[in-house]
Amino acid sequence: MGAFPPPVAADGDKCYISDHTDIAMGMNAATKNPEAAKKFLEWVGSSEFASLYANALPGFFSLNSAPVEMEDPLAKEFVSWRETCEPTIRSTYQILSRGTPNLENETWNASANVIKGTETPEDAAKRLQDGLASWYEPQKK
Amino acid sequence: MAQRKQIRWHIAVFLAPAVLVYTAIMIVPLFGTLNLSLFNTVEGAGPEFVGLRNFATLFGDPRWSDAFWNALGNNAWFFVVHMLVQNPIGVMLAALLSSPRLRGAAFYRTAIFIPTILSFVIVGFVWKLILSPIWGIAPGMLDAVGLKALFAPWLGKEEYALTTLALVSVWQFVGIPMMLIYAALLSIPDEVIEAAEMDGVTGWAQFWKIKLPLILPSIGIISILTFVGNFNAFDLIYVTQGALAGPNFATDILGTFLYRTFFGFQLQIGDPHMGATIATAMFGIILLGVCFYLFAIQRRMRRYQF
Repeated sequence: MGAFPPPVAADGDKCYISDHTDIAMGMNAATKNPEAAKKFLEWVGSSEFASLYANALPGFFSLNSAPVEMEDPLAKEFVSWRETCEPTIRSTYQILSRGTPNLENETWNASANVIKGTETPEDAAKRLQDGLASWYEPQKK
Repeated sequence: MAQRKQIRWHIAVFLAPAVLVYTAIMIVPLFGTLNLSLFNTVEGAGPEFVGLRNFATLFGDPRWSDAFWNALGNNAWFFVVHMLVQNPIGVMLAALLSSPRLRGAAFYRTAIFIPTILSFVIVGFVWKLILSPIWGIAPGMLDAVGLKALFAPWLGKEEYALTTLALVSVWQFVGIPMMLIYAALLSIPDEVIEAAEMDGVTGWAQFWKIKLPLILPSIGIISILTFVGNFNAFDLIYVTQGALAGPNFATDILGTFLYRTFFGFQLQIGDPHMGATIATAMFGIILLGVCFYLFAIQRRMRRYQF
């Protein structure tokens, strides 16, 4: 099995890889064991954990600032695009899906339509933008 | 006689279990739903009484009303397919089964009825696998008889998906009209049939002129059961296409629209108030249909007594 990076409109355009920066772990302020929780969170944030996690679950990539050495060749290929591509977020997570119409569900529908060719990418993007602008304050005009 | 009429307690006692259970699990939740649809949450505050504003949103805001009319239209087509395919086939199968010359009637009856007792999840998943263009057996089977050109990814095409699912549902439920009509046909007294034979009415003419008028009340009941079942349908669509009822909402019916709104789906947060509004609209539609049947059709239907 091989992999290819997300396609770009024209050769040499900047490519983007989406990162799950919307997932986080924290400590409950009312916890009875703050020391143990801190210790656990520190370990989860360490490069030791990053290396364990990325190698035990190929397909999940660490966001740790220290580089992580992975053994899986396919995972290595994936991660190598970090050197040439810019990171981007999952646009519909989390706050942008808290209204009606729901941006995540509309994105699913629009992606399928665009891949099938029943909707042009421009129309789909406009539809998503209009839907978001109908309820999300910073986008309202 | 001046004797006071005794209060007949036994009537209340015998009615009580059914009335209590029905009230607790049907009537109270129904009014709870109607009540829920008159409220909505306001930013930062609890639920607030909004009157019919939720209904104004559902029918007035194009983002809601487009989805609602699309679901209602799809639901109507789902019902039409059942009425045109399921019920005539059910009547036909029952007529064949009740023919005294048919051998192995018990086997056919059981075999045709079995899909009805299967779970929706099994039926939906099995048909999804059968019809899959990648690993389904449908393309291979059509190829074996030289008809591969007819194959299309039926569940994935906007123009076919809903009809395909309606036919899957027909396949599953054809046993119900078959059984009800079969019972109705068996209850026709032999004297009536014999009298018809004496008058020379046999074969097809006998079916159209003698048996069909006698089973019309059963067909009426089946129609109304089909109507209520179809407008409450949800499971099959959810199992095969998910709550987004793809492709591009081509298979979205009122049940999936309600589910998506009420409980939410993926990142969509559930909205009990708009969900209850849709549920109330569904209740109204079903109520109208049932009233139309009861007052316009059933009262005019002729019944025969032997």
